[in-house]
Amino acid sequence: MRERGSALLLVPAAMLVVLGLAGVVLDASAAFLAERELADAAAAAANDVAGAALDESGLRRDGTVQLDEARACELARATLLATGNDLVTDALARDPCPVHLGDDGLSVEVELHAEARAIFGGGLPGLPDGYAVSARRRAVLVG
Amino acid sequence: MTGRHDDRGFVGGVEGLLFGVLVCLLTALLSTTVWGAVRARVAAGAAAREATRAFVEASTGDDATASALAAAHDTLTARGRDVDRSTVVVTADGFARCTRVVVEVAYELPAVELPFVGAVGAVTVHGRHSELVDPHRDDVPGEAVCGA
Repeated sequence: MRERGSALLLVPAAMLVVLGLAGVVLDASAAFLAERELADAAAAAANDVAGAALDESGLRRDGTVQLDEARACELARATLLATGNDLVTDALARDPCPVHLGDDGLSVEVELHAEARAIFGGGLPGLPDGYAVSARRRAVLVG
Repeated sequence: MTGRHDDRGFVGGVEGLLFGVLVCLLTALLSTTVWGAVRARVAAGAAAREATRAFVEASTGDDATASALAAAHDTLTARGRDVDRSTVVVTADGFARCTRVVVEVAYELPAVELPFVGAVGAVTVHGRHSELVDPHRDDVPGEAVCGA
């Protein structure tokens, strides 16, 4: 007798749990999307650096084919900022020059780290406000 | 006495059940709406990326923009999107070595799609991509020195 109606009351509680789970899934999807966007931007930057940051003075001096680190930074930043993506801007604020040249002088790696804001997480207790996302892309200058 | 206790909790329980169903429907609606926006944004981003690649790899400046637009539309169509709802803007200062091209794809989709009612409102998602025309390409004008 005392538990009469309790099963019905459990329904909205269960639905709230479903809502929370849906929030987690959608936040994870948004984080995945953010990571993809970050990876696209990193790939474009690496591609531009590999193609356009050739150290011409070295090439003219003794025929050395290698990338120029300072130009690589400038070009990568220009490409990344041109995407107009807040996430990429966040990544650049964390690391103004996210470019690493390989020891061979011909390969370049662009690594970005940012935090993707959660859509539902901030409003649901126990869930994070954001997710750390990162992307790393590499390109090689073929001589 | 037994008869008096039969309906205890009934009214509250039914309300709770209706509330639960309502929460379930709203959750489903919200989930599909957000997921739809995520998918549309992925499509817009892919279209912008393909358009940029088509521009920088075009044979001549005359067909670079047309190639970019066609690539964006093809990508949207391949992902099941309606091209008429999209806007593709290709920004480039000519077509030469080291020219920076920026492609922005905007795609409008319904904010909410209700059963029996249809689309309500609209939101626009954007995809944007940028690259340089390869400075070491053949048959392209301009100097092979790229400034930032």
